Amino acid sequence: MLAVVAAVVGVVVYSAYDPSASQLFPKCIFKSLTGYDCPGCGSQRAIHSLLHGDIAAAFGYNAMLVCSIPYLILLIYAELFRKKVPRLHSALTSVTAVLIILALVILWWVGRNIFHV
Amino acid sequence: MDYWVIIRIGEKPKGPYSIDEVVNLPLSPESLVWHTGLSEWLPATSFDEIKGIFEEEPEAAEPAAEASLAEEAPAEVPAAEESEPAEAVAEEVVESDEAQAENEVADEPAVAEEKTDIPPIPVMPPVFRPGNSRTQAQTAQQPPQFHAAQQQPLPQQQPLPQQEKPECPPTYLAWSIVFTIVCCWPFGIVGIIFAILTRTRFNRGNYKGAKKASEVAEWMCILAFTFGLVFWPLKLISL
Repeated sequence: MLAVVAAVVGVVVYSAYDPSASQLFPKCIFKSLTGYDCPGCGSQRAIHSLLHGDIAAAFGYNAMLVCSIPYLILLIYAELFRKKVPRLHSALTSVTAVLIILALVILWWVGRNIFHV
Repeated sequence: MDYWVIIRIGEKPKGPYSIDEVVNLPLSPESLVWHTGLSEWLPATSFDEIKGIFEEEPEAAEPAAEASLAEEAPAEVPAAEESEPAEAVAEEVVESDEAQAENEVADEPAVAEEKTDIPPIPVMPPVFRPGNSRTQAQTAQQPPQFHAAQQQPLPQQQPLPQQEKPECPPTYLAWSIVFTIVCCWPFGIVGIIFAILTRTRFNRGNYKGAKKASEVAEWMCILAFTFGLVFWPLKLISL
């Protein structure tokens, strides 16, 4: 319930305002402290672009966010209907799958700071 | 499918027979039977298609033989399925995915038909050596899970696993990933790690540990959310 409310508020806020043009949106602490991008840097701008249908720009702001959306949708579906799709659920949350995700996140984090994507 | 039969131990194998011929042979429950696809001889009573002819006699249940039959089935398991067997018995299986279907059969004797189409099919029956215990003879040909299956109590005597095994506690994986990307990666990544821990412990049978890890993962998500909520107003004030 809380999640749904948060999601709706998020959609409204992030489609109405452009995070890169407004001072009101939070900046990443990690980035302001170290100067390096964190795995989530750019997601506010990416969400804004996504909500305006600009997938290419969103990909440019935070590629991992865009890539993770299909997986997250599947995962939420599997959580909600766990009884109906136990195999999908256990495949998506299996140790191997999660290890792969963790590795991807870390690779993405290191990679984006080296190659400045 | 060709069947070969040793009617009385010590006799030479006879065959090939079709299944219709086999059931008309003077078999006893001690007779040994082999058909294409099997790696060794099994008692006639362990074949679903044959044991019907012993109906009048008290059926000598052969759990060990059935367990080993079942274990021959899985040839390859998709990479993501490592944890599948534990989960599969824990939950009701509604969908059937062919690749996985063979994997979870360890306690269902009905598999006998499935393994007939396993790729490496010996054409001739293996030599039956009465001196060798069956388990010794076949260990080399068995997939690794074989040992695990043998240490388990006999499948027939187990209570139904569906009722016995608790459900895997929630891993909050989706939340952890979302928070990693959107808000606060330190909490998100710790959450992901505890999601892994939850699953690993659950798969090993450490249900208490899994519950604890699940709670930590939940706390990470709550912390991340709170942190996000607190952080934004702080940021606004400092502007």
